[in-house]
Amino acid sequence: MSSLDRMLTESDAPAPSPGFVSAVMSAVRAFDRGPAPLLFPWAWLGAALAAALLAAVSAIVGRGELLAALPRLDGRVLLALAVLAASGLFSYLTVEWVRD
Amino acid sequence: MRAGDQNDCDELDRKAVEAVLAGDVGAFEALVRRWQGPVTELAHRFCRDRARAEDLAQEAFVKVYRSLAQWRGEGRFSTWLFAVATNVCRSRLRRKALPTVPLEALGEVAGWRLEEGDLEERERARFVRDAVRSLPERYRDAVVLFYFHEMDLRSAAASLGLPEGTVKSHLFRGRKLLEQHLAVLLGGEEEVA
Repeated sequence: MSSLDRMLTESDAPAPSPGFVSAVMSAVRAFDRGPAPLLFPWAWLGAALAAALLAAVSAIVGRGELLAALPRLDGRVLLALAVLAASGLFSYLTVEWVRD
Repeated sequence: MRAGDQNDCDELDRKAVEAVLAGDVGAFEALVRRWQGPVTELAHRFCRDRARAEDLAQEAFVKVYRSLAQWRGEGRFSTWLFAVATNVCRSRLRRKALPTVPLEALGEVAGWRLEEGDLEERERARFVRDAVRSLPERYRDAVVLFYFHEMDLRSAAASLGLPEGTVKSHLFRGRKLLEQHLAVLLGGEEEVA
């Protein structure tokens, strides 16, 4: 073993303070008492992705026949839905980031 | 740790995890007591600061508690614990790095101190361990984990979640950088292969 190996293998880390375990357990119990974590809306995301995939397949293979068969939505409604989805996702990510 | 002790320890860890998952929060305390030393040491090797090491270790334990159900029980609990602790240390240091001396300046600093003739073996070792923090991140991580695991490449790779070959290569380059920049401090006895 070289002197570099020897120096790096040895540890000069101080032992944890006497109150370390109780501090960790307090943090753990505080976590338990906190609100349940928000669940990511995977089901909604899955449905949206499936719909987007269907629309894409329809546009490519069926030359838009399937899309044409769907009821037409006003552009402003679509825009509002997109804004709503984006703000929901943003809120979720912000809350998770703050919690972390 | 002897093989028998290791097996006993694994069994105790497994039972404690099962108890926690069954709703006994207090059982987690046994895990914290058993592993507080190694986890704090690991954090200290990353940050070289006692208070911060304890903060990082605490955060690692809380994260372990939060994601305890994700441990599948296939490997050792300690392997998974060290991987979680490593991730906590790396991500926290990425967010808020401690001030370091540039690697290029280390030789000069070491040389100056050596001329003063006040560097005992223990101080030299401390200086070298401090210097590890100045390495580029991927080399630093490989060096820290390899020596934390007492030069066990497989354990280091498991903690980092990287293939052994990658860790070996990062380790080689990290050591080479250290040897180049700390040649004066190491007394020219190290050979750069």
